[in-house]
Amino acid sequence: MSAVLSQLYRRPTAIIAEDEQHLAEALRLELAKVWPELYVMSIVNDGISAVKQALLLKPDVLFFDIRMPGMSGLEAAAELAETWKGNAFPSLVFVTAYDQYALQAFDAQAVDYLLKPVSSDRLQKTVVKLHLAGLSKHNTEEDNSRNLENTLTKLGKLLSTTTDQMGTALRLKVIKVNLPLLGNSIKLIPIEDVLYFTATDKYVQVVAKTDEGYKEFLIRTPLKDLLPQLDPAVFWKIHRSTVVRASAIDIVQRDHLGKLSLTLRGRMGSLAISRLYTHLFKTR
Amino acid sequence: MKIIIPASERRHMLQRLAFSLSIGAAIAFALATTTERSGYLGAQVILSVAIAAFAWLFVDLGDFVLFSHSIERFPFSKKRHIYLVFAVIAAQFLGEILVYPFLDFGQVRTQFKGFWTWCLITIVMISVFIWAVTQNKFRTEDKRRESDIRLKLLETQLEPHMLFNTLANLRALINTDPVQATKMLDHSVSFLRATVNGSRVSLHTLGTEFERLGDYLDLMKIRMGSRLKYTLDLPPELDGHLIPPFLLQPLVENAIKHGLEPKVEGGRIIVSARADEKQILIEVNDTGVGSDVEYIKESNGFGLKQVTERLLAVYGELGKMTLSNTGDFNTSVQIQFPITQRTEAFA
Repeated sequence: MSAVLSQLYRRPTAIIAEDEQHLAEALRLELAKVWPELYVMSIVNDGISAVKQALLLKPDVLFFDIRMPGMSGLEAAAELAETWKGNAFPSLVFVTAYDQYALQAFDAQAVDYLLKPVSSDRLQKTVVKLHLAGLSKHNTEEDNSRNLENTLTKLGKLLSTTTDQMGTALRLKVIKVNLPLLGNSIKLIPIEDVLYFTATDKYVQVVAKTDEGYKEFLIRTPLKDLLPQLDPAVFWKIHRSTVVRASAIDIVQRDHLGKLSLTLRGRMGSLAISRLYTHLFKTR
Repeated sequence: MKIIIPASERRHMLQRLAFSLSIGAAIAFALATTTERSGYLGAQVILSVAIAAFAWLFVDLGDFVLFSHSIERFPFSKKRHIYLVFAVIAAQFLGEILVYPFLDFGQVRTQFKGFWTWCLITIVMISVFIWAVTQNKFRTEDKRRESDIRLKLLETQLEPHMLFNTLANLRALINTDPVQATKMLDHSVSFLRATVNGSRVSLHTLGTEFERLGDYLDLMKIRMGSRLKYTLDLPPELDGHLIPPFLLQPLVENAIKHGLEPKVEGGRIIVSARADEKQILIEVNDTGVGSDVEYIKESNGFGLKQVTERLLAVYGELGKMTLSNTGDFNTSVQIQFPITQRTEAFA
C-alpha cells in the first residue's frame, strides 16, 4: 500500500541489502537525515532476498552490500538485471567494507560506490549523484530498455573483472576427477581438452575430449572457485552456470524473443547465453 | 623420481666437496708425518681422499636425494640420523676396499687393521657434529618459520574487511546503542592487544586462547546478530595447559567465513577441548553450509595450511589435524598435540 502511495506522490524509493543488522539500520538512519524524502521500502539481509524484494517492489535506488550470504551484492545486481522487466532499472549503489575490487571499476559501472563506515558527508554526495543520474520515471520505454542494456553490459564487465583476480601463475593446468567406480582412482584431464563446464546442483560437469570422443565428468569444485583459475581469454563465462572454451564456439543464434544461444563444434544441442554476457558477442 | 638440485644448492654442494677433499688430504698428511708410517704418504693421501669423496657422495648428495623432498629435512628425523651414520661407515669401508687393489698390500694393511676403531671414532664425531648443526640450524630455521607464520597471522587478524566492518559497526552503535558500542570497543581492544602480544610469545595457556576466541566471537556476534551462536567448552583442569598463541583462531575464522557467513540463516560454532594422559584434543565444529571435506583439503586454504605448519613446527609428528563432515556437524576440524604443562620450560 505504502509502495503505491509513494509512487503516487513520486516519493523516491529504495531497498537496502546488508547482512549486518546494525549497519543496515545505520544506513537507513543516515539516509533519513540527508535525504528525508527517500522512502526505504525494505531492508534485506541476503542477496537472494534482495533480488526477490527488488523485483517485487521495483524501487528507484538499490543500496547493495558486496559481501552477503546467499549471493554477493554484485551477483544479486546481475541476476536482477537479467530478470528485470518493464520500467526503469534502479540506480545501483554498492557498499563495502574495503576496496577489494579497485574502486575505479565500480565508479565507472555503478552510480556510486560507498566505503564502510559511511560518513554523512560522503552519503550526501551520493544523494547528489543519484539526483544527477536522474531518478525521474518520465523515461520512455525505449530509454528504459537502452538503460537496462547498458546496465547489463556494465555489470557483465564488472563481474568478469572481479573474477580475474588471480595471476597467470595460479592457472589450472589439469582437472582432477574422482572415479569412485574404478576403486577411487583419479583421472587427470588436461585443461586443453576441456570443452565446457556447467554447474549443476552440487557438482560441476566437465565436458572434455577423451580417446573415446567427448565425455562428461563430475567435479566438486564450485564454478565460482574454478573461474578465477581459468584464462579469461580462453574460457568465457556465458551464463551463471556455464563456462565454455571460446575457440570451440561454432554458431551464435538469436531466437524470436531476442535470447542468444550458441552451439559448439562437434557437439549436439545448444547452450543459453545470459543477457549479462551478450557483450562478448557484439560484432562491432 | 626426478631429482632437481637447485643452482644455489649445487654451488654449496661443490663447496662442501672441495672442503671434504681438502680435509681428507690434510688428515693424510697429518697421519703420514706424525706416525711411523711416514713412508706411505702417497697411499695415505689416496686413501683419505677416496674416503672423503665417498663421504661427501653419501652424506651430502645421498642425503639430498633421499630427504630434500620430505618434511623430514628439519628437524633431523631418526631415519635420517641412522642413514647418515651408515653413510659414514660405508664411505670408510668403500674407500678402503676400492683403493686397496691399487696399492701395495703391505702399505695399507696396518691401516685396515684399525678400521673398526676408526669407524667408531668417526661415528661419534659425526653424531656430535650433526647434533650441533641440527641444534643450531633447526633453531634458526624454526625461528624464521615461526616469525613468518606470526606475521601472516597478524595480517589475517588485521584483515581489512574485518577491521572496517568492525569500525562501521562501532560508528553505527555509538549513536543508537552506546552500551553495546562500549562492549564492542572493549572486545576489539582486548582482541587487538592479544594479537599484538601473541606475536611475541611462543606459547600461552589454553585459558588465554579460549578467552581470545571469546573476544573474537563476541565481536562477530555483535555484527552477525542471531546468525552466530557459539559454545566454548574448556574444562577447568585444562586451563593452564600451553598452546601456540592463536592456533585455533584460523579454524574459528574459517568456520565463520566458509561455514556460517554464506548460510542465510547462520549457525552455531562449537569449540571444545579434551585431554587424555598424553595429549590434548581440540575440536572446532560448525553447523554452516558444510563444504565437502575433499574439496576443502584440495583447496588447502591459507588457514588450514598455517595450522598444520605450526603444529609441525612446534610438536613435530605428534601434532595432528584431521577434517571431517560426518556426524551432527557440517564441518569438523580436530587437532591434537602432546600436553605441555606451564611449568615445563619450552623454548
